[in-house]
Amino acid sequence: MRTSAPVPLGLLLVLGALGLVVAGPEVFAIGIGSAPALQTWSTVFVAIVLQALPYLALGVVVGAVVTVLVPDRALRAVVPANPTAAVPVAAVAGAALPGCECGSVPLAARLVDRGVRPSAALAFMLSSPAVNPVVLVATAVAFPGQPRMVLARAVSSLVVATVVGWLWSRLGRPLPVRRRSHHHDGGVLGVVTHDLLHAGGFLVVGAACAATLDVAVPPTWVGAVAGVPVLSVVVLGLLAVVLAVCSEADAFVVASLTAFSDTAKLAFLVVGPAIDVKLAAMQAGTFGTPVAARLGPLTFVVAIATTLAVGTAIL
Amino acid sequence: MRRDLGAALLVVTGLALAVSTLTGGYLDYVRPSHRWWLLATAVLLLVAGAAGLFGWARRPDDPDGGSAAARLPTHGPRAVAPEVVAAARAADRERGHGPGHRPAVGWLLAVPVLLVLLVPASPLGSWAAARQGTTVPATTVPPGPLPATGTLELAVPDYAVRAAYDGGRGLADRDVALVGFVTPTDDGGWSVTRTAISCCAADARSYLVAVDGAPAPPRDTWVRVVGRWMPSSTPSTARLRVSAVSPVPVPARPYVT
Repeated sequence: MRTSAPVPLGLLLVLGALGLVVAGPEVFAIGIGSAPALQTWSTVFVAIVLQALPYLALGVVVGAVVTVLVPDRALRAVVPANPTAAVPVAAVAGAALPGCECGSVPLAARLVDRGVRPSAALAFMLSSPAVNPVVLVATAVAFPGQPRMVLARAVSSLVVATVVGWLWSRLGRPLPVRRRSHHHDGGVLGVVTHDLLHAGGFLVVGAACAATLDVAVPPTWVGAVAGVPVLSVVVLGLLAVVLAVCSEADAFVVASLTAFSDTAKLAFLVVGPAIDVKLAAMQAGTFGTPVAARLGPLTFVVAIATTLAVGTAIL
Repeated sequence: MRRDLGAALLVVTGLALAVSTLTGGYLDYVRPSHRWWLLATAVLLLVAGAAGLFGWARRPDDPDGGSAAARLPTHGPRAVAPEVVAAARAADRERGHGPGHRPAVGWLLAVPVLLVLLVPASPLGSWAAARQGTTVPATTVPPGPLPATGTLELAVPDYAVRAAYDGGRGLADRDVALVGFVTPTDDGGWSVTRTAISCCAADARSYLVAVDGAPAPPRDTWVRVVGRWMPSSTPSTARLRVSAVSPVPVPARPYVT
């Protein structure tokens, strides 16, 4: 029994890592330098993880605070009881969580644990990476002189979050609810530790998928369809799924695809924060594969349809 | 995953983040301003991990634990007496259940941690740039004014934008100095190249300036070139006729942000 005679494996692990830190990577110089594709994969993979971990940690900490500290009363006061109203309210509330999409998945799961309606939690999860002020300002910087792009992005993402939330409450399967949360005597740090390991592990899966696709798919394939009306919108939507660029940076990436129409670029901005390979991996880990297998395609289809409608109306 | 190993993994991940940030290794992956986010995350991981490792926050029931005491309601109308909870906790200890296990998928965090700690980082280079091709700058917004005299020390993306805007006329007859790495082209020529990122290397855009008038240095070496703007056959490609090429060390900030 490890409680009676614990082997201090954890301490040994930490001491071993300290040894690696003191030695430094130059000592090992594990040679992947000769294969530029592998080197690029490694750089992109680590970059996505380093980029996303702080936002994931923010979402995990907020989720832990909601789980452990926010009383039921307060939560009920914020989220409307009426299911039809709760979804758009949750979508708009997404604007309050700054940063990229990785933090919103574990936070949404914790909201569901606390009894927030799944459709509202999903709406929050889908909208928050796209409509928070940091992302909207970045979009304005990437598209100078085109404030309509910012407006179109905010409107489309709110519509997508709301529509997917409503559809999920009609058609979707229930999301798994973990143990009742008001017995969380494990405290904020206990929840944080659990969620960091859980969401962090699936982030690594997603980052590996995104880095692999980044290295495997030749970028020139995309440019071939730039002039085709609807197809170009779908293709840039798919590119957003494949590249898994974080929502603070996606506007800069797509702004450089000058051959595409503004509506096609909007598809990249609307799809990316809602669903990509990295998010799909995290959703599968958090809500289970059956939920993720429905939620991903549903989100993609609604996002493309919304982009076409909003792009026609605003851009 | 054993609970203490989960805590240790968080400590190790926090260490890797801290080391990468403090040694500047993170600049090969993400933008410089991400430093504060990374340090804050490192502190959180170290604190949460140390708390688990040394039992600062040890309670018998944390999420997904196998403990019986955890399932007893302790508040509300159906709350049980404290003695019952104490007995359940004792039973938990008997069965070695007490603290819960950690999700095994968390072990995957060791992969990026080992890459950061064991593999010397390398910023995106000519392979990625040649694959992606040069970024076509938007030419609708006029670039800012240039210094009136002297050699123009421009970033490669800045030069590319200025060369595209008004056909580069604002650059005519000026000495221009650029710093970037060497990307050979298929026709035997080469480009001085710089990668721009907004957040991280996953959103990288490459800017290539085709070089005339000097033989290609080895692939991926960093050089400073001095030369003059020259018109390009395609409006989206910037060119430079160089008079001097000198090797320079890899800059601490390999990406333009």
